[in-house]
Amino acid sequence: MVDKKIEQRIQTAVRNATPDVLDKIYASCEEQKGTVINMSNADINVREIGLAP
Amino acid sequence: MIAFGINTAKSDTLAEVLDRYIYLIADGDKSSLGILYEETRSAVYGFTLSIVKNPIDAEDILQDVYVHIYLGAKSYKSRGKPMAWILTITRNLALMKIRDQNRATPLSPEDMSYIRQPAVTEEDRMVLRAMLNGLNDEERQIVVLHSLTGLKHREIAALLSIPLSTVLSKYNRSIKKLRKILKEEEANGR
Repeated sequence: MVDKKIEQRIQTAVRNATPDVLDKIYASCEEQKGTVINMSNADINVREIGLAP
Repeated sequence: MIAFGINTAKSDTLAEVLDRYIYLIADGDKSSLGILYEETRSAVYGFTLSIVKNPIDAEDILQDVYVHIYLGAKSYKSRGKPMAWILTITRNLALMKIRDQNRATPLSPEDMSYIRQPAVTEEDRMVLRAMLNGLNDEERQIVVLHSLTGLKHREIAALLSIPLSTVLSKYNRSIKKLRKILKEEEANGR
């Protein structure tokens, strides 16, 4: 119960502190269209750390 | 906490909803990117902040994570763990930032004042301060992941490559520490 209360306070604090950068994201996506980002590292890591089913 | 409520059936699991958005993003659907962002940004920002401990860097990384998701969605293969995929990208980018700077930039009072979103209250600042300054790196990441991402302890253990028993003991210790710090701060009227 107490744990949940602390977690709720963390959730509220982080949610309120999270900046809104969606416009910047959209702008960056447009700029970088055509750029190939290699996501294989992320894939490998997910597999390596055992999160993959 | 992540909340899903847009165009989802009651029977949809959280992972299924996220999966669907990622596949739509892969098809070039920017509105799905916006929805995914809205639904997950607190978790991504919280986890980033827990690693880099600096709101300025965390904001940059928050942006980079969703650009990577947009550009990398086509190569995404669902393994039923989309949040783990997003958090792995987040962790990789945060660690890369630290590596580039050759250190984790320490949090200063100025950095704390940079958290200037209008919604942030003094209570929020106190909680963030306690979390960032009162816990060590691993403790902070465990508490944030458990509080904000919906990952279970065993999934956190896998993500951070540490034993489950360590996650459980550090989580309990961290909650106790935070409770003590916040109690003291409240008693001091901060």
